Amino acid sequence: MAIHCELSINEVVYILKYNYIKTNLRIHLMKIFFNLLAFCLLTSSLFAQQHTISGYVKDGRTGETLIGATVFEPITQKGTTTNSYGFYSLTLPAQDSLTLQITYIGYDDKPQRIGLMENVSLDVELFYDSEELVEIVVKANSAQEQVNSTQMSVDRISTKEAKALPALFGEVDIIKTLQLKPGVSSAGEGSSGVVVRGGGPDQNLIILDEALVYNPSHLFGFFSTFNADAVKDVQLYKGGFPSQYGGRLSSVIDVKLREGNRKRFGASGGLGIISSRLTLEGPLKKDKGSFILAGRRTYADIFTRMVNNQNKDNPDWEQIPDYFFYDMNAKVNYDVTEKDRIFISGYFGRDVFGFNTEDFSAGFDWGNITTTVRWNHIFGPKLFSNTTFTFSDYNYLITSTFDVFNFEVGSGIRDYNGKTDFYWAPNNKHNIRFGADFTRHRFNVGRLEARTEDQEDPLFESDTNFKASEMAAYISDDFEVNDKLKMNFGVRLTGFSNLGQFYGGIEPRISGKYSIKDNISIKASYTRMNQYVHLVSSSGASLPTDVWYPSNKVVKPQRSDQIAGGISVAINKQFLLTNELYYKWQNRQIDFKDGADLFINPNLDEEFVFGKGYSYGNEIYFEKKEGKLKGWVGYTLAWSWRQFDAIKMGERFPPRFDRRHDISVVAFYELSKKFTFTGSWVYNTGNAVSLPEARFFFQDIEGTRPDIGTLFQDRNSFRMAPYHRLDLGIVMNMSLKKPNFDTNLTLSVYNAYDRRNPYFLYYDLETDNNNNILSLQAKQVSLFPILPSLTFNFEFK
Amino acid sequence: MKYIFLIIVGLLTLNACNLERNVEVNLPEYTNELVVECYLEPGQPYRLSLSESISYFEIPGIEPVDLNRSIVLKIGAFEIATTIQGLIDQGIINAEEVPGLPPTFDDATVVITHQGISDTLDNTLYMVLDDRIVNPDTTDNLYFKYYNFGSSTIVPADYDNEFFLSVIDDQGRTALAQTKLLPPISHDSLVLNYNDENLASLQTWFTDPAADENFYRRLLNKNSLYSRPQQDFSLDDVVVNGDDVVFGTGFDYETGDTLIATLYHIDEAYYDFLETFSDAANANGNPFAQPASILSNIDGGIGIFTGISYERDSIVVQ
Repeated sequence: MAIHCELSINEVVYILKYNYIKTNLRIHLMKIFFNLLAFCLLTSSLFAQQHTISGYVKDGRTGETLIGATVFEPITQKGTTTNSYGFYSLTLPAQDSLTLQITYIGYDDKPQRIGLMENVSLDVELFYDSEELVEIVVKANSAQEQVNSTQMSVDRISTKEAKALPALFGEVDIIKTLQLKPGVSSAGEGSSGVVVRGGGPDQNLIILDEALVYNPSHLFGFFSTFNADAVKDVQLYKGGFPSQYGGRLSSVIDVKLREGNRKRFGASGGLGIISSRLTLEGPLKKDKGSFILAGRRTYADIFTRMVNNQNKDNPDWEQIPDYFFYDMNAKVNYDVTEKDRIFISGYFGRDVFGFNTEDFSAGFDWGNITTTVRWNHIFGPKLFSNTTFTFSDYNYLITSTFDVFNFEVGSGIRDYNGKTDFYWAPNNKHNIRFGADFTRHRFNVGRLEARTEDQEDPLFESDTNFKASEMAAYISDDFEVNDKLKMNFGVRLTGFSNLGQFYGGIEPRISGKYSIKDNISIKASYTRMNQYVHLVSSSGASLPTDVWYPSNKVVKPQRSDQIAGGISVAINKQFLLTNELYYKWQNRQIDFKDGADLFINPNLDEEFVFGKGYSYGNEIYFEKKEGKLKGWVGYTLAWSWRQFDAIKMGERFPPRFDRRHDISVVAFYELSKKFTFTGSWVYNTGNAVSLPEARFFFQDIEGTRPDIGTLFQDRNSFRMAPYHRLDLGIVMNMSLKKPNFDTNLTLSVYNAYDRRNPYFLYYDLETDNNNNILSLQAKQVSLFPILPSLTFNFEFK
Repeated sequence: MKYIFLIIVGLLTLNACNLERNVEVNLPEYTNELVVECYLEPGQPYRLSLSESISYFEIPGIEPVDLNRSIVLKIGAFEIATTIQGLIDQGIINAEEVPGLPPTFDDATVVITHQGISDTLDNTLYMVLDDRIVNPDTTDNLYFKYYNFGSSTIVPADYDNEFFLSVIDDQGRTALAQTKLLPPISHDSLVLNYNDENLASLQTWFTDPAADENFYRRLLNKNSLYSRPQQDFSLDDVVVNGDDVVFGTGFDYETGDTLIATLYHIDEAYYDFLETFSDAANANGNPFAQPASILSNIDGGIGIFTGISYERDSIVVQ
């Protein structure tokens, strides 16, 4: 084959240099990768006189594994924590006898005396701290653990915290509790969408038992899909992303479902003003396996149907549409052997909206399904693996019937994913994690069908589908260089293929911790993330009709680079103070052309515009972890910008959720065994919004309905009034004398001082009888006034 | 429990408070822009309305048309030179019906050029009146449409060559635009369906040419073209390319109703203008809408300069 090309000598030299650099870069990266492995193997062999203790740390009452429990040997000052599956591995010098301290905040410490002349398998059960008055625990890790860890920019929330805090309509929402942490804010009043360090709500990786959840909300974003009764643990990473996570730019929200009680059957639930919920759990076989089944459903539709029925003969009655949502979580797990555990879990949730009259009926339903099949295998005391297959599906369907016409509009995304993760602790200097995953995406970008009742063939139809593959491999090493310095090196290699277009990415993940004193450390991190699928949404709110769209030749992957640095101080056991600075670059950001048609458009590529963004800020966090009064105060000072050639002549502008100041104060006060008071106060700078600045008169062709043209000049150049809100709650325990039966009443008061917070602004025309404009007035609309709610909760255990 | 109940009742009472309030918004200084509206219709003379955009809180001074101002009035197919007073005197309109005229902008030179021939439009008030003279029962309200520039040159049915617009005002501002006429596309059929109550619904069918990217606007009027349209749809053929396309109505029409369907074959610029005009209007007061700039094909101003080609068919409900 002859190739004819006309290049100058300089161009040839340039190409050769480029290819040389590119090839050598790859070679160097591969070398680093293998050297890292070799180094770990070498250091492993240097510690040949040592043995390893490994096993699970569990809740003694339920048998569920505990994530992040500490296993520590005081003489050597060596320790580790349990991983996401409750497994730990600690290698120590051989000795006749040693005492391990196993701790988990909120639980009694458990010293464990063992001999270590060979590898030891040790499962430990911990019990609730008898000194704790009530089961509200500001769980996360202890202050000292957080100071010692290389991981920064991470928040954990326990369901007990979330359940105690006052909530909108009394609906406990674990994701909304995350919004009370610094660097995390709400996407809007009452919204369960989160905005993390200036990233959009679509830039959060939200995973439920390792399955990706694409639209994790009910009721247009007001409630998240996660039923707090079924959730075991939630971790939010704002930066310093561990190598096992990828695919979104701004955050990772990792939700783990509970496993169910392995010791006895139990039931729990609650009755609220908008929904009820019930959870059943118990052993499949005592201490070998368990199940949990949790469901909830709203019931406003039951009352609206009754009202509609009562008024069915009233010709002036405007029918109230039906609306409800429900979700179910189920999980079973079983220890097949001492070294093998199988988990199967699933989520099914749906929002259903319906409207029916004689002439017109409409239905709109949407929801997620996820399924996870997981296998944990212990290869040996130092090597643990987790292999997972997940299925995730999100779709919506709008149907309407108008006289003889039927319309159906829908869209969705479906993923099949397989992945495997290995945890390898060759010695106490290294904790290595590596793995790979592969996802097959199926995008149904838009499906439209219109037909009449009397015709078999549709009047018109449209269906746009894509299939794409996403893959990744990663390795990371949490490396204790010396007593003061710990580093975490990692790299994630990612790829995405769609319509013959392949994108690859190398994502370095580096973080480090240096201990200035035992209780003071400084930390820093750098991470890169690529996002290959994009949310097509023209609004700041989370709408069920938002569509996920794959990267292709036109729409390139989004990419972010984030650096962060900070200091962590533990002040005795009770207090934690952290401060973090961050700067995030966001490349290939997407927005949409003016007038873009995003709804059922088979040529969406033509509607995108591309630009960049950057965000920076400082987050201060002070937490009191123990005592009768617990809680935290967070303050974030931040800036966020976007810049698109096609918007505002390329000038930078703030996104809607740019908030200069963000303050949150959260408190739990345990007055007695019967009463606990909770409260939270938030303040943030008002949203940046666009308002019309000018207008013009327009007659149109026919001239029968002249109108006013509305002219927006700058993007998001106005600020709404600041948002602030106080929520108060009381938890009243009512049956303390029965050890196996707990009930409580939770009173929540949302927006306790009845602040009129702005939800949106608009201009209102005042006209006279002849439609002449008398005045124009800007109006602010608020969504929620003071809203009290009462929830009754019970638990048989 | 009794106390908790009382607290809740008390708090719920507070909920009755209003959730909407007036707020002050300080808009930045705004420089007015020229607003052009010109539709080239084959067989009709050049007509154009020119005005200015204004800051949002500025109240436009809509004044009744000066009774003695000279106007060129179009009634049906005829044009006559008259005054509003003349119309009142002849009993064509009532004195109470004198229309309000939004501020026009007259100090400009407006030129339309086609095939190298430039036509400077006169600054005259042209008004279109509904067909009340020939059919006085067809409308409840007076229909008026105005243009403040026009000429006697008739728009040729030239689908190959472009039309150019130039507006230069006395402050030196210029607004430029160009457009091309599109051939009309006709209805394949208008079909009436009847329900048990003998109410009719209408389906209007046409075939989208597969070869081109086409845009349409379809208006449906009942009984008179001077009434507010019953339906107004704009359509991009992206999902119906080459298909038979139908627009349907509900069973809303009674015996004797005349339904007038107008299918405009419009260009992309006009389609974009209509869509973004609507988007921008909807963005005011809609928390879920993205603020949208109105896409205009007027370089140096706002508005639209486009050709309109249409097919109009009517059907009477039996």
